Amino acid sequence: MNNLGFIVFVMGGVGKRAGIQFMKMLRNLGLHEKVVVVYLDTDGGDLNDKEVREYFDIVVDLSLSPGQIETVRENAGCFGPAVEFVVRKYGAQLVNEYEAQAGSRTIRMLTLLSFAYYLPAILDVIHKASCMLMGRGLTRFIKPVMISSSGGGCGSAVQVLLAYCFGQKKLKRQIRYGLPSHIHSPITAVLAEPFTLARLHKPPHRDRILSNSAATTIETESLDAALKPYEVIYHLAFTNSSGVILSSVQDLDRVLGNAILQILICTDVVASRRADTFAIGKQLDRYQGLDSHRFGLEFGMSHEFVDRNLFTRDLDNPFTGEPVADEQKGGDSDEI
Amino acid sequence: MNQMTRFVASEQRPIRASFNCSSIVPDQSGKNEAIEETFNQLAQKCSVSDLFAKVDVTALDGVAITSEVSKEVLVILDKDPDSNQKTEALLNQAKEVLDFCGNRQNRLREATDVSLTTLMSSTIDQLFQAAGQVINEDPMLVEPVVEKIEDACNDFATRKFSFDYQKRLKNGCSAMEELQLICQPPIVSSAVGKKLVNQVFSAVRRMLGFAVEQKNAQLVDELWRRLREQNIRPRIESLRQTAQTSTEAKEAILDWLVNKHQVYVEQTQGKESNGVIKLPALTKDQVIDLLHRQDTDVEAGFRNYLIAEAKIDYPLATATNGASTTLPEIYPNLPPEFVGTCFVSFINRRVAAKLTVYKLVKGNVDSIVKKAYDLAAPLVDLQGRAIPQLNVQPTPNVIVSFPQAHDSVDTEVRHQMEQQFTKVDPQTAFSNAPAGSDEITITRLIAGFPASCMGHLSDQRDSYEAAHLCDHMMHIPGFASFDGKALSPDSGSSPQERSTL
Repeated sequence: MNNLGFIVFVMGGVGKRAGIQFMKMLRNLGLHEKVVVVYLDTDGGDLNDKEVREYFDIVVDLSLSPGQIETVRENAGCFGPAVEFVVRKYGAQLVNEYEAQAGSRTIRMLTLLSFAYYLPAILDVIHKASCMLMGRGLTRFIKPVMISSSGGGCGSAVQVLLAYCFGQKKLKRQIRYGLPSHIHSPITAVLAEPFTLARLHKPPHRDRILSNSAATTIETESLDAALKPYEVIYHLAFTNSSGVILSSVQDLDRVLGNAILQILICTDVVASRRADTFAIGKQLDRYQGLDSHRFGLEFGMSHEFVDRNLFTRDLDNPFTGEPVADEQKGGDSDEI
Repeated sequence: MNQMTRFVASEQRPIRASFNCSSIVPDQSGKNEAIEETFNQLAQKCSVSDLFAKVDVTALDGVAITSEVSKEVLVILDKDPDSNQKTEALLNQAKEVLDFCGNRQNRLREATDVSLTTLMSSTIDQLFQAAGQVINEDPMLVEPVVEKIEDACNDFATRKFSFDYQKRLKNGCSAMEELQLICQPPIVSSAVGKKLVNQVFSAVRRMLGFAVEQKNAQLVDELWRRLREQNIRPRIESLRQTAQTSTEAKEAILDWLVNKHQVYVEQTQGKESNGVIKLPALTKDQVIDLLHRQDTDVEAGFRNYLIAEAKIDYPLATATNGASTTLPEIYPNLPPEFVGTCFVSFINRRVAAKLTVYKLVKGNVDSIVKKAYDLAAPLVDLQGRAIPQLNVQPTPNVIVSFPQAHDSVDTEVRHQMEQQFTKVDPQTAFSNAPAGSDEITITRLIAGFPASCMGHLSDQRDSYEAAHLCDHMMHIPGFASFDGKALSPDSGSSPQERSTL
């Protein structure tokens, strides 16, 4: 962990519990100064826990009040093409003032609306967390670490949307405003797969959870193909051939928190091995990176859409009124 | 050609990684059994009945009441000397009352104070009415006299006429002296007023004194009668319950220990497959040996612990003095649940300080390392033929965290385990566990493989399509699909459209 600080984003219920477990152990190690924990959740009730206030540095409430939901619904165009599409297509069905009060509850679209509404605040929070880490004087590089489940409504969506913020050029510039351009390393994402715990629910809910998990896997793959924000995406295996079954929330929290701590502590070792093996062959390997052939799906269709800004309209050419192509807008400052 | 196309260099890279971890922890269930055994030994040295039923026979009131009961017994004996059974029962009652008064003197004093207060209040009310009739002759003196008498009566009822006053009466203190102390005349400036007030108060004093002298014997009789009928006998029943509680305190604590052990066993049952290796704890003899090795006087340590936990303001010198003092002398009134909780906590702390995971692993390092390594395996079943075909290099990583070593034995065992893990995977990384942790955690990673190699990923396809048929929007628009719906198996068509085709 030399010269490396971590902004750990814990999202949703699984992320919160794993983050608390992780921070308890990290404080006992005395390394908590190199970590800033940001907790994001659409369920406002979980934000007031005593442990949340004790262990997390920044808490972002993504819940929308009925008035805010109405604002989003009536002014969807201001929040970008993605929100505009959702409101136009699912407005009356999905964007309900009163049903959205209890969090996302496996509806990832609701998280998208919350994220778009709070996007400026979220970017400010990431910038603030980066400044906090740099201000402590212990780090030169910052690695974002994202912890969530992949089957829920909040964590799985915020995981992808935050990675999008770190990958999309304009949003990335807002995040590191005033900071060194090399400050943020690629993201390390940790996803707890719901294979075993989802079977505890009835079929419709179970199907939603598992389909959300599959969607998260596909979206991270699509996002990495388009913007390459990830360094590595860890999936927590719930079972293995030795007979281990993590079928309770306590076991999941224990394993998730312990493993993340070990991974972060031994970042140097893991990174060196990765550089020696699979990372070095990324330009030469035969692997196409298209994993969804097991789904029998044609995949990778929206790279161009992802590469554009989902949350703001493209700037029009003031002279011709035509949308400006990405190449003409100017790329990242690093690449100039 | 298509096959060749797959081999074209691509910027795509396998970014997936999977992980799992297992832990080696001491099994706590055997420790509780050892604690129970140790508690038995401690209980033999210092009986629990003494622990919770210490008798402090210094209450004069208790002795007085008991003497009254004894008088009753003697009267009954005089009247009916042949009723041995009845006599024995009464003597037993008297003995129980004696114990009761010794144990519960404070409560008894409060109860009898209330009774006396009630009795005297009614009496003083009558006196107050008589005094009111006297002072009706001069209406100007009504208010100061009434106020003074009210104060006197309140004082008389609430404070003065207590057991102390009763003792003074028995010692020859006259009621008039007491009344003169209480009933002082109000201060009046004029000479005429002073004369009237003195006359009235002398009359009141005479009446009060006469009434008290007359009522005193009746009052005491009434008091004892009520105490016997209303207070003592029901409390004898409660005394029996208290005695039972006292004598069963040991059994209660033992039951509590057993229940705690059972709850722990129930909680830990069925979780053998959660990646945790529970090593058997030390035997009872080993635990007892550990308890007595460093601090031979467990009671002294327990007393110190109780002082620290219960925040009792008691001279520490007595507690640390050791052999001459016993637990009941220091803590006569602690509830058994609290003492039991403190005791188990104390033993847990003492045992936990001695029982490290290294000592449990010692002698069985190879098999435990192998088992823990297997349990920490992530679920990625990448087939061997896929590696050269895709030219991917899945990279395993093993991270082992060790808790703090307390002595040379722990250090030696840790060194052996590090060697064993290195033998299993030469690239194993080692780290230190957080302070206070007593677990060895093995985290295994495998990175750099296609996502589809994860074992259950393909199983999600059914749920993916089922959720799509239920109109569930699983995707975020723009990332993988434009409309939030499931991706189509064929380009441009959703599963629902495919089913209709």
